[in-house]
Amino acid sequence: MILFNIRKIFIAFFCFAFAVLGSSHAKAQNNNDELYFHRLLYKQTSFDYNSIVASDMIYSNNQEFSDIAIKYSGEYGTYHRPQTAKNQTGYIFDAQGCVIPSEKIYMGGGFHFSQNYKNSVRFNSLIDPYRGTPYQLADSTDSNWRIQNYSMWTKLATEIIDKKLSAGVFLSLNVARGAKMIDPRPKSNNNRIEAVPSLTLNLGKNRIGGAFVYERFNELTNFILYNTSETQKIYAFKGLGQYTFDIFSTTERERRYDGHGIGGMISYRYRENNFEIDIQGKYTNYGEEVSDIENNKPRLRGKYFSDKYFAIVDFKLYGDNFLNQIKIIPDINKESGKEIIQIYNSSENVNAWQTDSEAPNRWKGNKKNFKAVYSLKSLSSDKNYSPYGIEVGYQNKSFDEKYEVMDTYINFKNNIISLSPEMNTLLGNHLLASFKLNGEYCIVTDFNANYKEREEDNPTVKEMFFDKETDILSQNYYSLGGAASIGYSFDNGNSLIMNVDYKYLRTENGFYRHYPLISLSYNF
Amino acid sequence: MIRKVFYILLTISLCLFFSCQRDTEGVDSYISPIKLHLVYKQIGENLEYTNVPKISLVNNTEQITYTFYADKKGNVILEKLLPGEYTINVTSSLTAQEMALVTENPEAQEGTLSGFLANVKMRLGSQPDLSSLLLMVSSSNPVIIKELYYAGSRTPSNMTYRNDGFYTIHNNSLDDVKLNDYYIASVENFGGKGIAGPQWPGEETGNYKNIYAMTIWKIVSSNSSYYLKGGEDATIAVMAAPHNKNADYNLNSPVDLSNADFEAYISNPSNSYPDFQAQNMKLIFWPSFSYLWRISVFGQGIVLIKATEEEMNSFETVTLPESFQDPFEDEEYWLCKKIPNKYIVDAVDLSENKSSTVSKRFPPVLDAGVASVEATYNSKSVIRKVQKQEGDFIIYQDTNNSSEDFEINDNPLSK
Repeated sequence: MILFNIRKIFIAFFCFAFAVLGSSHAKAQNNNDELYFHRLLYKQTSFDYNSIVASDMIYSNNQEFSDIAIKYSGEYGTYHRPQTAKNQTGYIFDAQGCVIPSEKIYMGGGFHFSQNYKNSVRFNSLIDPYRGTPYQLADSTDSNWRIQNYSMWTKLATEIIDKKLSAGVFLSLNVARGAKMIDPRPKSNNNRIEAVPSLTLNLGKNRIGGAFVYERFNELTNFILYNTSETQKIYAFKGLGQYTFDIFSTTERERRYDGHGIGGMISYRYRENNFEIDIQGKYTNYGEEVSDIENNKPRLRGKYFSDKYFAIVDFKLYGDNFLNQIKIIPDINKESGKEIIQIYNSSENVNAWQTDSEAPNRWKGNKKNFKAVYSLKSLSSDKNYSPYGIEVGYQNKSFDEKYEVMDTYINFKNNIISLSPEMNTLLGNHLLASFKLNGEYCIVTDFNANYKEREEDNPTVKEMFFDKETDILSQNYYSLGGAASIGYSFDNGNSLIMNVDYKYLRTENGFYRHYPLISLSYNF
Repeated sequence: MIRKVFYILLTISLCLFFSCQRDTEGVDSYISPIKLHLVYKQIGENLEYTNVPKISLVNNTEQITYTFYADKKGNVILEKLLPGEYTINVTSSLTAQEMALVTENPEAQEGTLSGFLANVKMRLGSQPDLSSLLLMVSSSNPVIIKELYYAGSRTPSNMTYRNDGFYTIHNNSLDDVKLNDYYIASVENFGGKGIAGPQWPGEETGNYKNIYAMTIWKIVSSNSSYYLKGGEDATIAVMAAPHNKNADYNLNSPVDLSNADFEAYISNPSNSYPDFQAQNMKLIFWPSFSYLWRISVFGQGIVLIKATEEEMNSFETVTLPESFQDPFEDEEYWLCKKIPNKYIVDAVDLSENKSSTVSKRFPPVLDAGVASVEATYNSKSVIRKVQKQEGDFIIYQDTNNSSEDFEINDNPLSK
């Protein structure tokens, strides 16, 4: 029922999006062939383009744009974590754009649909097993997933006090559903809603914005056994491969996840003629309950907690023909899992699961990430497009998960350096081309891991899950890739672009992965 | 205006801050250590244990088993236990001298001391009450269930097959035993695997004073005396067929039961199988019977009953309380025979795995543990461990604790 209503919403939004996108127009330019690169430079360098503090958009240099794209993406190879696919392909449709009817109104939105085929997946019953919760039902059967994703977002803002105060809201809805094709064949549906209302104060060179964040998530997973004479062993994961198990012999088993999160954001901008600095911080607190249906009654199993801290500092310095940009992005995610012990009370007047006790902080996660990126772009004389550019980045990631009572843990650090030169050029006769190279090298340091087995005579989870996880996470790797785009610019400034992107990753022990991506997009 | 907006935003921020969800901090992960002093009459009080008691704690919630050993004075500290619902077993073997002392019988043989507590809730920050963990001397009967094969096998085309089940009873003494008053029964498993037994009126779950039998067979149906010689076995087959010798059955079955001593044969038009050569048992009780007597492949309690015909006829027929009944089953399905524990000479609780003790149907005086082949359709049985062998005479272990007494046999009927 809920999915049927969401489908109606999608259809309505799609029609609205087409109406908006179709009515948007390009600003008059001296050289329409450069419009594609002009929009590209805006998307690459504008802080507000990616921000969800919608009210900031009123006091920002915005551009109207619309993009529609169809894509094919793939991943193939042995370098993958145990709960992800060995091979996967995806067929994607993306549409996004914005219109600025006046200085006091901003309207933006987007829609995404993808159909994914993920092959040879184990130990997974969720659409995204790495989204956070440690409480997952898993089977060791190697089989294939089909997953559909629908998502849409909108960013709306308006001025409420002339040149002083604006209000806005960012809304997003994501719906996904997937199923595995072999017993015990999990079938999963999830949806996530995010709402971010905001206010921004304009103080001339300074701009201060604030927003509240609300998030709602739920996921329903059903294990369905078609061949009930062939029982299946199901592992109820509790973090880092620690589990209890059950012999699945009935026709259906259901697990439900219900979560909601709240938080806030602040953003600040200072701008002068030739430089601007943007600072943004975000905090979200999230909690999610997981429950099973057992003995025809709900049984609460655990709660997942997360505190996320995110910040970004973006500094831009404009020279005569160059743009220098430095971004610093730290983020921290502190997580924990609390197990709930419920006992079935079979007395006549209760006949239900009752909470007997709780085991807090049984699983803990602490993930930190620090990223610094410097980019240098050459600018055309009107500063509207960048023929050349280079980006250098450094990233330090720290990963720490533990399940202390079973002496099980994984912790390590990643140091990643990256280099990415690019070139954008007009080939004449309305032809456009872009080329980009990407190189990355990752060194893993301070890697420690240990696993205590639950069943001495059954090493399945240790060997096929935990050891595989540590094999992948402990590897140094390099990746090389590039992207080439070629397109045609129409007289009105719209452009049709064909893009081919490829990345190859290889580890020191010979694991590898290919990442091809082909897209065809229309930009206007 | 701006100031008003600021104060409203501040108030909302504070409200949201205090509604954040947080995990509980500063709590120890383990329950507080528990000091236990195990005493049985003089032993542990004035006298030291010759064989120290072994304490086995099964955390049914976590599926983890902890094992501790007391010292010679019977003292033990149980520590580093995770919260959950526990089943506790204590076993200790007593020498003949110790048995003579505690039973005041100078001719007493070696025996077993055992204790059992089920449904013990251990929570963080609190101490469980183990004062009701009482030790008792387990009685041993000469006739015991030696081997149980119940979980079935796979056919050559990988289908499931469970017509080849059997139970072997054994005379664990030197003397011949007359079997005419012996019955074999399967105990109710209402509610399914992993679920505690129902609360029968007047009973405590897991510590029943009676067993509630779903099916009862009189082993020797004829009136002629039948003796099981000392040290010998008698095999009771679900179907006394040459299972692995004839393609009509299952060539992958581990057993040929054509030489079984007894068979649970149902003479009924729905039974298309022949009446094999083995002596038929007499069906005493099975209100919702089908044509083959097969228990759950996940395990179900099996008992040996010793009672006269008059006593058997006097046992009450009861029905499961309505709140536990499934409306999709007939009324006959919920009928059981209520048999007091004193008539049970041996009991084996079978479960889908050895840590799943929450669904126990027997009090510790009958069976303090569970036996399991730990899988389904794996062609394996559970068989008693050999306690000692004197020449050709084998004595099997019988401490009234299936967790300790039984082991998995990869070749059913071979020993």
